[in-house]
Amino acid sequence: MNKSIVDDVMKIRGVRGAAVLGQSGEVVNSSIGPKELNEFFELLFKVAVGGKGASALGEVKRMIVRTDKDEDLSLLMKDKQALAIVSERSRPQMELFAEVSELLGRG
Amino acid sequence: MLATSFPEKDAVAQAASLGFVRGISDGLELVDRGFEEMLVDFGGRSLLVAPIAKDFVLAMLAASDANTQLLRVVMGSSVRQLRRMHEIAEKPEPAPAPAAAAAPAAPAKPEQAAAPKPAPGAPPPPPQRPQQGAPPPPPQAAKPAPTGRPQPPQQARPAPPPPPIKGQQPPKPPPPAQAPPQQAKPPQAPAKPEPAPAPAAAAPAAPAAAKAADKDAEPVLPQVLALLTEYIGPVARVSFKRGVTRWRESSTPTVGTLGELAKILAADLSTDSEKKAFLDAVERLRGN
Repeated sequence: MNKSIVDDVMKIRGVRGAAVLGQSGEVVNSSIGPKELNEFFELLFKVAVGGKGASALGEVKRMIVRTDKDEDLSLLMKDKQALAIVSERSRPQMELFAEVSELLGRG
Repeated sequence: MLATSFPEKDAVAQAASLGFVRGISDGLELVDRGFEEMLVDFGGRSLLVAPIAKDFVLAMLAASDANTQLLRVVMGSSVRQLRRMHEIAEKPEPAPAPAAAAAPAAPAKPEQAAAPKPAPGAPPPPPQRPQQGAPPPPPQAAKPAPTGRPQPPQQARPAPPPPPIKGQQPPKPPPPAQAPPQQAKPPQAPAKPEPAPAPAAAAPAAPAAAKAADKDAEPVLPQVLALLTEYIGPVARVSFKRGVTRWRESSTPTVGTLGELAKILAADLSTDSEKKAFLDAVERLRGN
C-alpha cells in the first residue's frame, strides 16, 4: 500500500483522517491529528492480526468502531498492511468503503 | 459467558468469537473509550460487539449473508434493553479517553457481570433468557436489507424501549426510584408481545390488486418499523400503522412506493438530519 494513499483517501467525502499502518502495525503515514487515535489504530491492528480466535473465524478484513463522537474508526486490512480511516458517521460506510476499495484497487 | 445462542455444533465459532471478544474487550477498553459498537469483518462472517457496561458486552456473530446494517440496528435495541434490564445508565459515560476524540470524564459506572470475561466477584448474572447472547433478529433478519442509519442522538429523548422482539423478554420500564437490582429476581412475566402491525390491518377496503401489492412490500415493512422504532421508540408502532394506512390510501403499497411511506413516517421525526437519515435508510431497504 502506497503511503500517498492517505492524501487520496482524505479527498473522499466524509473522511476526517486517514493513516497507513505498516506490516509491523506501526503508523507510517497519517493525517490523523491526535496521537492517541493513531495509537488506537495500532492497537486495533494488533487485535486484527493476533486476536484470539481470529484464525478460526477467518482473516480480519475490516474493523469498524463506532464512537460516541459521531465518528467511525475503520481499519481496512490489505496485504498485511492496513489503512485507518476516521470518518463522519453520517457517511454511509458502504459508500465510503466502495470508494476506498476503488482507491486501493488502483494503488 | 452468561448466555449464548450458538448451537453446539458451532462450538468452534463460539469459542473463537469469545476469544476474540475477550481480546477486544480486554485490550481495547471499548467502554472506557466511549465506543458504542465494534464490527469485525472476517470476509465472511462478521462479529459485532457492543459494550453494555464495563466488562459486559453483547456480541453477535453474523452469518456471511446476514445484513449487518440491520443487525446493528437490532443490536442497538438489544443493548438498550439490556441496560434497562440491569439498570445501567442508558449511555455509559466514557472515562477520559486515551484514544479517539476526547471523551468526557466518567462517573462511577455500575460494574456488571462480564459476558466475555468472568470477572472475579462479578455480580450475579442477568436474568437468563433463551438466546440472550445473540438476540434474535426481527422477523426479516434472516435476509434483512441494509439500513445504514446513523444513530439518532440519545440525549434528545429518554431512550424509549424498543419493541419486544419475538421470543425475548420485554424491557421493564425505567424504575421510578432507586429500585433494587433485578438480577436475582425471576424473569418478568413476558408482556404480551405486540406483533408488528400487520400490513393488511389498516386497509379496510383494499382491492385485490392492492393486496397483491401488499405482498410485494410486506417483507420489508417490519424492517421499516424496526428502523422507525430506533428513532421514536415504541410509539413507532402507532405512527407506523397510521402511516401505512395513509400510504395505502395515497399510493399502491409496493416496494417501489416505499419512499412515499418513508416520507409519511419521517414527518414524525424531530430533526431534519433524522428525517434525512431515515429516508436514506429506507431507500437502501428498498434497493436491497
